[in-house]
Amino acid sequence: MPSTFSKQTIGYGIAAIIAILGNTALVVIKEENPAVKALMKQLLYHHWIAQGVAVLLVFLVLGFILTRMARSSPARWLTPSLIAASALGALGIIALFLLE
Amino acid sequence: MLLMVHPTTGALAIFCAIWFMVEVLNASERNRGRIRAAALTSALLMVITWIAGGYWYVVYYAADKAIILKGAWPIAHTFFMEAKEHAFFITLILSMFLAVVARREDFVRNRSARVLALWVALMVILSAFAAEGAGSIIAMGVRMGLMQAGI
Repeated sequence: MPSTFSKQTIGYGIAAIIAILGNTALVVIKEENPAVKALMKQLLYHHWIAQGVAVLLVFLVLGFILTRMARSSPARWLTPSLIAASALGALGIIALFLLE
Repeated sequence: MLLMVHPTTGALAIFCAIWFMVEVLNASERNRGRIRAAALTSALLMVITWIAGGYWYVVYYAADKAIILKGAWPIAHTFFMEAKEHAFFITLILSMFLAVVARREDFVRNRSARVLALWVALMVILSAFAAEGAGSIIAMGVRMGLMQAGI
C-alpha cells in the first residue's frame, strides 16, 4: 500500500527516537553525577563503552520488540519526530558541554 | 593506523549516504539493489568507524588529552571531543535505521518513505561531517599543545 510505513520502519523508528533522546539523557546524568559515571566505568571498563552498548541495545532490543507490536500505517508523525529527536539530542549535548 | 581508519571509514560512510540519496531521488525498479547496498554499506562503515575510533579513544587518547589540556586550545577536548564522542551515537543509530528503512520500504511507490529516507540520510551526512570537522579541531588541539611545549 503506498504512503504507509512497514512495521519494521515504525518499530525501529520509535526505537531510534528513544535511543537518541536516551543517549542525551544518559550523557547529562553521567556528567552531572560522578557516581553514575564511575558505575558505568566499573561495568564495562570505560563509561563511553557502557554508553555505546546501552544506546545500541536500546535501539536493537526495543526495535525488535516494537516491530512485533507495530502495524503497517501512514505514521505521519514518524519523520518529524525523528528529525526533532535528532536535533534535540544533538543540541542537548552541545549545550551541556558549552555550558560546563 | 587507527587514526587513519577512523576518519577514512567515516568519510566513506558519508559518501555512501550521499550515494543513497542520489539513488532514492532516482528510485526505480532497476536500482532497488543499489539503494539497499548504499544504505547497508554506510551503516557498516559507520560501525567500523565507531569500533576503530572507540578503540583509539579508550586506549590511546589519554596522552593526547593531557597535551590538549595543557595547550592553547583546551576547548578541543572540553567541547569538541566531549560533544563528538557522545553525539556520534546519534549518527550511528540513524545510519543503522537507514539500513532498516532501505530494506523494508518501496521508494518507487511510497513518497512518505522517500521523504523519511532522504531526511535520515541528510542527518547522517550533516552529523558525520560535523564529527569529521570536530576531529580536525581535536588534531589541531594536539598540535597546538605540542607547539606550545616546544616539541
